[in-house]
Amino acid sequence: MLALCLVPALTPLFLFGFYPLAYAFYLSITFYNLKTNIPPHFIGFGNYAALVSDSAFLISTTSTLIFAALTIPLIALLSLGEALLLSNNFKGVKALQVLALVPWGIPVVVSGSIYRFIFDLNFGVFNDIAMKLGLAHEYISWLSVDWIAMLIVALAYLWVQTPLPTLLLLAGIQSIPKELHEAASIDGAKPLAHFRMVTFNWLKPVLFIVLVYASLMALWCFDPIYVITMGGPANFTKLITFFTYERMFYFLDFGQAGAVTILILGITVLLIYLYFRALRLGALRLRV
Amino acid sequence: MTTGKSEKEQTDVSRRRFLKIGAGVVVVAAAGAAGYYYLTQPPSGPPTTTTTEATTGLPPTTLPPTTSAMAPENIEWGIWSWGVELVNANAKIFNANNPDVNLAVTDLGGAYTTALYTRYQAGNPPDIHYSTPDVSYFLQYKKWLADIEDIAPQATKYLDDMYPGVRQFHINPFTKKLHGLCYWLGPIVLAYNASHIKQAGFDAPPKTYDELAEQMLAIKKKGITDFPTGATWSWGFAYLWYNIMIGNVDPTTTAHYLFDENYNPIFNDKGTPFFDAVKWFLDRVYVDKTISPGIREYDESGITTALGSGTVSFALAFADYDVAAANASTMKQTGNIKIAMNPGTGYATFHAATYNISKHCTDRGKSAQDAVWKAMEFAGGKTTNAKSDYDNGKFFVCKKLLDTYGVTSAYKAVNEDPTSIATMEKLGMNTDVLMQQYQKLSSITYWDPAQTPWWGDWFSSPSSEAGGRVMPKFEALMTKATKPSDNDILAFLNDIANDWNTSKKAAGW
Repeated sequence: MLALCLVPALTPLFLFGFYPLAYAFYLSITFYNLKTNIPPHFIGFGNYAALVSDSAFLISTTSTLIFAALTIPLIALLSLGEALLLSNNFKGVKALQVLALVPWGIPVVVSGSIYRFIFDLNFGVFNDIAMKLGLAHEYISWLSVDWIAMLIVALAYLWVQTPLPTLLLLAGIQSIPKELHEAASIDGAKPLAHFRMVTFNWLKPVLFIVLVYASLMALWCFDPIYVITMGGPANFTKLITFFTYERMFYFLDFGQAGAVTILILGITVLLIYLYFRALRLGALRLRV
Repeated sequence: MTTGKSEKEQTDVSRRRFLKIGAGVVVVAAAGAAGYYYLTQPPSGPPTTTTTEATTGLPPTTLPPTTSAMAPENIEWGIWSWGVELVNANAKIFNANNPDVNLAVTDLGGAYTTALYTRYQAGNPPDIHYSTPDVSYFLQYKKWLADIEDIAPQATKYLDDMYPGVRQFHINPFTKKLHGLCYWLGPIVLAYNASHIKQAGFDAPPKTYDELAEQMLAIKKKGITDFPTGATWSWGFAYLWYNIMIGNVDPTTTAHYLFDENYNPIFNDKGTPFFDAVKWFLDRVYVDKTISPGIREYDESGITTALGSGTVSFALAFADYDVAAANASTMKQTGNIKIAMNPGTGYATFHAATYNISKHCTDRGKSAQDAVWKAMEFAGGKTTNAKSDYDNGKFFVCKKLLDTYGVTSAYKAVNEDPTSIATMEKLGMNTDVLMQQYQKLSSITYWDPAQTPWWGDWFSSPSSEAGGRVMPKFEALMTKATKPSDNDILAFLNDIANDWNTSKKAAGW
């Protein structure tokens, strides 16, 4: 009887969760390219092999790693810093807490468009300021310089992705029992020791969650690339999700798109597993 | 009196009890649904009552004629999300005048190509739809399209109404038959700011690409614009290169620029038209610094705005109708933006879209064929009161498109109509040069020797903002710290030639 009760809950999970994944796996082992007259047929790991030897895929993987390496620590540090600031009791902190969450409500597409305008070749406010300050003699195409383009995409992404971790960490900080800080003070702890011995230790589980979140978001990031750079210059910001989208919807190579999807899924599962190992799965206790 | 349980425990429902109630509800609901389903199903065995029994006592009725003889033929018109209101209005006019056909418009959305291909793959394509050149080719390659010539041989008369340079474009490369009529067609032009070149000391736009380079440099040196030239980089990428190539090498003297008759690359050598075009371009980026590497940021609206605001003086690979937008009254440079003949030979490539009909539609039979031809002739041919009339009719929809949006056509009669000229002039288009450019158009972009299914993915698709694989490879060459040598250019050309060959092999060619 109990199993029957689970049917309504499990049906959508299988229909909308597992079936598409299974289908993606089927595609990944199938030659399925709409732009040829070759009918779909089983090719084993041919799509995976083709991807590994595809320079565009390798560039895309590298770009994703760079993007992740840039954004994961920045999200953790920025959100921790923001949370520490907002946990203090000063005039206007309530308003600041609200303001800190505002970017969370901004769609990444909108954030991307704003950043594209800021750094626009002809009308960007950044170029205007740089010219007025004498830092540039002519308008510069920042989005055509690979590393700068990557940083701009990361900025647009960070702006929107930082509030949620900040909220989590702020909740964590506010749940620290006063007694712990009082005991530390009695022991003569200075502010840094307070942070290291009490706050940081208490926040560790939340920080792990933030890291998991930031890693997955970096892996799945798509919108700012679509809006700001379209993967350029020279594919440098073509993250793996954009690569997949392109293979699927422009090249209509469903087989290769399926293979990348399965690879992303594999990496996602591995990341989650590693993080939960680090958290000692089963012993996860959020002290909030 | 107390029961021994707290008040909270009395009011709370235990998890076990909740599950029991829940399961009970589900089982009852399931049983009810099953019962309802069973009762509402028709009996599987022979009916227990006869029709005579059921109709006893009813007055005799006269049955109407079969609906298939009366019902209009349904034709689905697949469009992209541009000018939707105009299309709907046109369909309404068509339906009002053709009661035997029901023309229904379906907006296939922004991801038009994907939606279209998906519908074809699923076996449910629209009956008639727009196609850019790469889309037409791909659908022809898949044998999903029917040639209009097969169902309406008289359609070939429309080829005579077209400018000579664009006729070949409307021919199916596989069957050599007319595949569809024109939706719109316009030259890819060099647009320039007349005021800027005058300030730089020139009386006329450049006649050659070397002159263009000279004017760009003069404009930069005078501080009029930092980077005088932009381009439609997104979907215009392939046109940019073909315009430079056919500007430098007359398309009437050579059959091929990039590939031989067997689709083998012939561009990856020093001195080829493509090599020279790339070299010319990179010299402007690295030596003169009159083209910014940021040219890659321009899409169609971006370059139009840049030209209209005066931040660039020239625009390569520019859609002719965008001159109207660049000259809009809200633009700083309104009235200054003009069209020049493509420098050099004067020949230019063009962008276009045709109406195509699906084989899925024509396979439905004569009635569907007649209906879809009526729809196509209304949308891309001559009609009177929305009815076929080649001899005395007018290009109603094409003309309306031009009058409303300034979007030009493959048909001389549409563009050269005095009212069209007046409309275009009013929109700020210098029609004298535009009409000259129409006389010197080349279909070579689509016939070099012909497109292939992977052409758009490799070079760039006229229906895609993303561009093909050549684009990022060229961007790598364009955004280097130092000027690429001839060998670097050759390495780039070899790289994309190898990519071409790989695609060719993968497609089983």
